[in-house]
Amino acid sequence: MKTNKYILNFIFFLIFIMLWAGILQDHFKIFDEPALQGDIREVKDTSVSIDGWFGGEYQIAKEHFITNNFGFHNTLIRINNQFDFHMFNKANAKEVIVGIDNFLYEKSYIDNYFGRNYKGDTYHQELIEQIKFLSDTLKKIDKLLLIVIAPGKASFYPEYIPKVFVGDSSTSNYDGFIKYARSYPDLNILDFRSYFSQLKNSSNFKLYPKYGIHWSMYGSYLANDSIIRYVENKRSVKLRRMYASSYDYEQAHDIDYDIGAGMNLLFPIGENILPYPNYKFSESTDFVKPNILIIGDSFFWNIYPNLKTSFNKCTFLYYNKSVFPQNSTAEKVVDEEFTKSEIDQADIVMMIVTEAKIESIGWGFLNNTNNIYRINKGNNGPNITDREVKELINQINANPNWSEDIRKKAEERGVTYEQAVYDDAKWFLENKKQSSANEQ
Amino acid sequence: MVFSSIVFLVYFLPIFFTIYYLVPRRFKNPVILAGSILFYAWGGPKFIFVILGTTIFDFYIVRWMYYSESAKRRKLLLITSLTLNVGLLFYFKYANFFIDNINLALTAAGVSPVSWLDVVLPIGISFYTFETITYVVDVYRKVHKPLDKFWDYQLYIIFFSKLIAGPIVRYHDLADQIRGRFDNDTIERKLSGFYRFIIGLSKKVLIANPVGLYADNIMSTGFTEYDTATAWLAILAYSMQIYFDFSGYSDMAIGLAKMMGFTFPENFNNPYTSKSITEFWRRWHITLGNWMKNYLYIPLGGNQVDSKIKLYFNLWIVFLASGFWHGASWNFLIWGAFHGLFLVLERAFLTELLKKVNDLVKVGLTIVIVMTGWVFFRLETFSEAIAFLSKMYLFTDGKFIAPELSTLIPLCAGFIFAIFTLLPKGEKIQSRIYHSEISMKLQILLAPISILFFIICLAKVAGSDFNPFIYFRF
Repeated sequence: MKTNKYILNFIFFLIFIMLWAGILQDHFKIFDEPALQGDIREVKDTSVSIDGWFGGEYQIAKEHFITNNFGFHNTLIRINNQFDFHMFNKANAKEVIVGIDNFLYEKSYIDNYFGRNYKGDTYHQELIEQIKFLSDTLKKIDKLLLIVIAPGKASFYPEYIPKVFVGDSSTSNYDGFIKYARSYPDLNILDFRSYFSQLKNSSNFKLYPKYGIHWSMYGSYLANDSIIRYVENKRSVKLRRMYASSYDYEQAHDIDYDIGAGMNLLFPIGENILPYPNYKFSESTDFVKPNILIIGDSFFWNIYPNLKTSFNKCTFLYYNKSVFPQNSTAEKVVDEEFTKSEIDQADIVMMIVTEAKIESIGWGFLNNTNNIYRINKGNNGPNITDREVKELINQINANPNWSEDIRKKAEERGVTYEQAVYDDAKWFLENKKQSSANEQ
Repeated sequence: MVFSSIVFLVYFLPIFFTIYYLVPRRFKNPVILAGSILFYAWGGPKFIFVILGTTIFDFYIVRWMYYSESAKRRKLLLITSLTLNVGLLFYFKYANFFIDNINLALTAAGVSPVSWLDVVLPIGISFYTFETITYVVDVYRKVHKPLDKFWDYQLYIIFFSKLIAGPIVRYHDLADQIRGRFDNDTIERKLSGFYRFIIGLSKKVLIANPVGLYADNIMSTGFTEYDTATAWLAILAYSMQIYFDFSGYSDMAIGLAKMMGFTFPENFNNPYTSKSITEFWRRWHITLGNWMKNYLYIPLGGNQVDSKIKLYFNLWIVFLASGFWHGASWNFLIWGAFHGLFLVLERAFLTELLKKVNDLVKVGLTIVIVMTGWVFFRLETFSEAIAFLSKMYLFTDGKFIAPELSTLIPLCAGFIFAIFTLLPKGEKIQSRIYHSEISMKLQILLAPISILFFIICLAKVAGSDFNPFIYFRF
């Protein structure tokens, strides 16, 4: 009986140690807990005040802080996530979908693939007009505008999308964009969605990782190589090139495992061996190093380390908000002045976007350049697109009285009818938009 | 602060029990009192003064009442205490409801409504008011003498283990334990209390919370677009949620008290295995049922009234009061009346009629009746409740929303646990863990299982709000 008492007291003691584990870890950091991955916002501690206590705000803030910062918090989060993933095939990360055979997706990529958030024909028409305007404008000042479309995971691996998310396909934003881009064959577009889907079954290595949302390191290597060759061809120059001399075969890591890491599990999801290129520079020395300005999303990160070796100045505007490289602690503001300055210094302007977010291409960069290089340059006037002008010209031509007026004006001014109708349409639209702006 | 929060599980629990177990016997009650005041003040920083103030008043009024020789004075003091406590309950809990309804009537009559600032409800007021009433009435009835020390009375009322969500512990059930429990305070009981706490925590976190998500998702808005099957699944999920949430909390309360040497009355006894509504109310929120019986039903005459009509009326009044006690809304009243109606019907003829029906069928029928009643309990307005009941019973078309695996598994597990004592083996297992002395073999089995479940529950609580984007969104 005494032995039993000792055993029971020992059991109770162990339970007590377990109860104290959180407090002890919090204060003494006995074990190293790896940080959690993802968009984790820091929760700051609060200090007590009489008003805060009696108003209840202190307790709410303190509980919030404790819940996000107590000892073994990260480990317990991983335990919870592992439990849910193992028991229910559920990912505790926003928008993450666990597909067939544990292929991981983000929901927005799936929705975009099935055309569930199509912006409409007019939207893409106007978007292409803006890109065309910028391309033509940069061409006049001997700069190249290059659009790079990275593939989205849902379009690359549609076969692993869970049945519950599969729906009727309708026009996607990618479809709309490409459709209107085709009206301007001179636009410089590298469509890796199309290219990679052709390569999918014949490529030596995986172009897209199972547990990542971006193209694989190998896929980005191919993309980088294609971009360099394209620029060389368009600019008739030779750029410094890297090539893969060998490959290390490793378990997917870093960007190739970004969704997997973001799920914050206790154990890796599964095996996914990928090739990681070891790079060497080509021996040729007769290359040039122009300047490049890139406006892009996270699909550029895989390419950035290699691409920048081929260029002299390589500025990357991440979502047109953060500037890389970050040379100083002060955050640069990406406004029109900054944009103009960077474009002036660049020989190539590259916009890179995944096809799943293609409707957001530029993230305001196109608006900025429209304002900088607007049609009614030199005036602080409203933005008029080519398409709007063309539409109005068609209306004028279809109106006999109006077109007759224009013909008379053309004779008086000594210009062609086409010039006169273009000027008139532009003037009409400017005034109309200016009046609307003034009323507001 | 709730029992299933990180603040309580990681900080309050270990610190409180360490101090409690280390201090000499004469300081243990003050430690409980200090912990309880901190516990309540954390969640209700202003209302702590209300509860402290009313306990001071009640303690001295009851002492005066007890030691008064005049029956008239004793009755007057009883009425004074009851008026204060019930008055405060009415003010804090029901004033908004009455003013809103008066204003509705005034507006309908074309009169300008009464202006009123909504009153905030102190946490636990329904529970501790009822316990105060047991103290006053039990002393008045001379069932038990009043407590000698004011701090002992404070402890009885404000004891954190039962303060927020019960069980409603009657004064004479606890009176002798305040100072007389220490000889029963063994290591076996401490461990048994911990296991009970873990059972309650698991019920709440692993079953009630996940099934509640599905119920909330369906029943919160726009349920008119769902089909009948979805409506039934949702109300089944809610039935499991409310049972495991409430009984889980009671288990935690009972377990915590046991760790301090107290024995609280049981509050739930597998209510979904009931064969009638009468039996359901002997198994569901048992302490409320006992309170209603002893402090409302019996004073109204109980079973000793001279007519069946009066008996049925009294039963119905008790259930209306039970319904209203749960919340200040017409739907709670309707829920109470609904149960009261079935109780009356069973007394009148239903029990006799169903005598020859198979027990399992009776259990099934009772579950359906109870689930139907939960519709009024869960939904806020009468029209919503009727709309939902139409969905359930009129087989309408709509979308079927299948529960995710993270809901379906706990829902099935919950349902099995809710009815497993229908099997004789089930009763035996429950008795071995809840009521009997736990053997050494079982202790060695239960200890690691409890630790494992504690870790899983803590992980679930920590992860309940954790759902970040993979990348920062611009």
